[in-house]
Amino acid sequence: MASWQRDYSRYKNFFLDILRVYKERPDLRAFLEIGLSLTAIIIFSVFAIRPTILTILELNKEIKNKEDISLKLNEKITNLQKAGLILQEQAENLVFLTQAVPVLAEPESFIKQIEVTATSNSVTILGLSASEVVLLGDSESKKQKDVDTLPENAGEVPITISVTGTYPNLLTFLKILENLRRPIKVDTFSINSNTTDTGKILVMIVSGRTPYLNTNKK
Amino acid sequence: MAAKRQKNINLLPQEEFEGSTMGRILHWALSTFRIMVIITEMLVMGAFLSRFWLDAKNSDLNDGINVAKAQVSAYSDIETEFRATQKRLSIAKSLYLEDKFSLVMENVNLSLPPDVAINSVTVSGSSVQLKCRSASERSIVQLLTNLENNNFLEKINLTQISSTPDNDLIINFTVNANLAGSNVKGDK
Repeated sequence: MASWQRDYSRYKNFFLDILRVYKERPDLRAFLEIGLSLTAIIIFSVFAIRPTILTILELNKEIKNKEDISLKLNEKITNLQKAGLILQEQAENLVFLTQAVPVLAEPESFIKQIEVTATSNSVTILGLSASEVVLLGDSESKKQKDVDTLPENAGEVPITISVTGTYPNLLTFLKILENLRRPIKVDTFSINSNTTDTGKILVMIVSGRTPYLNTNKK
Repeated sequence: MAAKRQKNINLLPQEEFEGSTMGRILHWALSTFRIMVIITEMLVMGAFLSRFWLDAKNSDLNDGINVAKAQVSAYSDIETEFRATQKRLSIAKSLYLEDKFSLVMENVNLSLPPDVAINSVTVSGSSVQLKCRSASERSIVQLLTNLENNNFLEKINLTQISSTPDNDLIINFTVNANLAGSNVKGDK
C-alpha cells in the first residue's frame, strides 16, 4: 500500500470518527450549536447592526436638523413676502422716512432746512458749522467721546448753530429745530445775552447731531 | 379477528443527555439563542431597509432646502431694504422721543415770577443751569417752588447767590437742576 493511501485511510477514519462522535453525542452537538449561535450574533452585532444603527442615528439627526432649517427657511420666506407687501403699502410714507434718515450724511439738506426755519422765524444765523464727516471707512475715530452714541449705531453729522433774535423767536426756532423731519439730537444748548456795539443781543447756541444710515457700519 | 395493535407511549426523553440537568440547560439555551439570532437578523434587515427610506427623505429635504434658499436669495433686495427701514424707524423714533429742550424752556418761562429775569440758560445733556437776576429774595424762593412744582426739572439747587456790583438791589443767582426724564419727551 502506498504512503498516500495509508494517510488517506487514516484521515478518512479520523474525520468520519468526528462526524460519528458529533452524531452520537448530543452534548457536543449542543455546545457546537451554542458556539455557532454566539458567533453569529457577535458578527451581526459588530459588523452589521452597530454601523447600521450608527448610520441611522446620524441620518435621523441630520434629517431633524434639515427639517428645522426647512421650517425656518419657509418661515423666512413667508415673512419676506409679508415684508414686501408692507414695503409696497407704505411706499409713500417711506419717502419721508428716507428724508429723515438718509443713507449718506447729506449735511447740505439739513443746513437748508435750518436756514429756512431761521428765516421764517425772524432769527439771524450768526454761525453754522457741520463738523467733519467720514464719507468712507471707519468713522469710530471721529465720534465725540463725551456724548452718547446715536441709536442703532447710526452715522452722525455733528452740527453747531449760533443764532440771534428775540427770546420768543429763539424759543420758536428751537422748537421747530427739535421737530424737523430730519431729527436732531441736541447735546447742548445755551442762551446768553451778549453786549455788542448796537446794544445787548440774545445769542442761542445749539450743538447736536443729526443721524444718517451709514451702511458701512454693521 | 384482527390483531390488537399495541401502542407504546414513552414520555421519558429518548436520549439520556436530554434528561440530565446540563442537557436541559443546553436545550433551553439553544432555543433561546435561535430566537436571538432570528431577532438579530430581523434587526439587520430592518435597519438595512430603513436606510433606503431615510436616504430618500434626506434627499427630499435637501431638494426642499435648496429651493427655499433660492427663494430667499431672490428676496434678498427686499430683506436689505426692510432691514434698512427698520433701522431708520428705530433711529427716527428714538430721536423724536428725545428730551425736548423747548418744552423745558416753555415751562421755565411759566415758572418765572414777574421780577425775575434770566441772564443765561445752559442745557447740557440732562443738566440745566439758569443764571437769573431778581429784585427780591422772595421771588427767588417763588421761582424755586414753581420749578419744583412743574415736574419738568428735578434735583433743583440754588448754587450761587450774589449782589450786583453796580446795583445792590439786584440779586444774581444760579439754579442748577436735572431734566426729569419722561416729562420732557416729545410726543411724535
